[in-house]
Amino acid sequence: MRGAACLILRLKKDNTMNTELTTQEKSRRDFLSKLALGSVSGLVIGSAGKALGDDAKKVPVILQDPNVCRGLNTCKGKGKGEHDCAGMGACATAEAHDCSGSNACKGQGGCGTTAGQNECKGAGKCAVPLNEKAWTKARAAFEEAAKAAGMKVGPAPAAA
Amino acid sequence: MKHNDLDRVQRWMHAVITHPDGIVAGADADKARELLDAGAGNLESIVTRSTHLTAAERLAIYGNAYYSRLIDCTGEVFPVLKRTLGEEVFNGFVFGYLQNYPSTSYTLHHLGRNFVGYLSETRPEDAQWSDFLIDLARLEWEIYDVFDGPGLEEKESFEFESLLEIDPARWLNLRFKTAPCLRLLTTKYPVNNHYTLVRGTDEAIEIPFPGPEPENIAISRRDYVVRRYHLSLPQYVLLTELQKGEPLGIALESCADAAQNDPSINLEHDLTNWFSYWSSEQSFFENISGESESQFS
Repeated sequence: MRGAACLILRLKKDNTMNTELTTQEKSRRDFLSKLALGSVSGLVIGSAGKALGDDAKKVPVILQDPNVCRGLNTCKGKGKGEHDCAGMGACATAEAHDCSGSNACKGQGGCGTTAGQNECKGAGKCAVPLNEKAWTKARAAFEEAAKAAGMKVGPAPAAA
Repeated sequence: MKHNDLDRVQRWMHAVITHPDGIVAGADADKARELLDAGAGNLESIVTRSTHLTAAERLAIYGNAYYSRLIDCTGEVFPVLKRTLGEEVFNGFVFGYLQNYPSTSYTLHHLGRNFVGYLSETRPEDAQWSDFLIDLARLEWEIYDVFDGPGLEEKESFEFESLLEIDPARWLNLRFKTAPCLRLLTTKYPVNNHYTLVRGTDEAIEIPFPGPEPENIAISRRDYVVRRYHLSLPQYVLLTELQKGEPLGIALESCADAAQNDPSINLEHDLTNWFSYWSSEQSFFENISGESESQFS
């Protein structure tokens, strides 16, 4: 806190300057200078890891969500990714990249021996609905979810 | 025409297996026929049949795998959107997306970069509910991009105490260089909470869509872990101004304007808490400079 006390003294000294400013402008600058003091004080205090006391704990204006690892920890232990907490996305990307690079998808062997039966992972998903139906289906999913939540839903929009 | 022209055969195969309507349509399409004029009826002049499969069936394995892999990869980037929509609907969006924005990079990292834009472009008119899905996709893309993008992990920490060496009269001129991994977004729906809720809930449990409620979110990364922060409007305005490179004085003025209708905020007090928290998080600011070309006035 010694740093913060020092800051206050220096600001008071600074407030004796700028006498040529208009009253309104001086008031504005004084206000902003106080805010700047609070800002810089916070930066210094926070970086030093010093607690601000109960007030700060009671009013954590920023709510910290639980750490988000994007489900990335699932990769840990699987040996994929460069980080301990490697991302699931990176993991899947690497896998797919391997496939295109080596042209040897995991399931390709299976595809060869029992071809035509879509053993390749996810191969059966290729018959996906076409684009123009997607929003319609999304709307249906939305209505269903909203109904389950007891939300009132307006009429369906016209097709784009 | 020589069918053993490898480059031409490769490009033909690419055209055939990436056709959205399948191998037969792909082989008959102009794009493929301009390369090798075989057509669906003459595929076996290019690809031999196997003991059990015709040429079209053999090619279909690659055609199926091509889209299913890309759809799977996109699903890894947008897991909560996928779960929220259901796999079938989500895959439909991605399939349509891949027609409009085909993969063109050597890496799949960029595959989903235009997905949010695609959803916005195809958004039904007057369908406010669709904003929820677009907001959710935006959040998930930012999380993904922040995770794999540049951060502060390999950089020297800024010494915030060095600010005390700057004349306080110049503090209003301070310029912040925000962390390269810091993203600020505002959404029409509370997707940050929805994301947290979905991620922490068993997949068997259905999570209802939230109602509309504006939300401001900061996303950043420390020690290679992506973190999300709910922001009040004044906080969002303040950080946005600083990220734009505006001097602290300008940012504080904008922040004060945003806070003037909120009686719960005492800026002189709260700013200390905010900045204290942000600096302690070590994921918001890369450095702060007392020198700037344009001065706050």
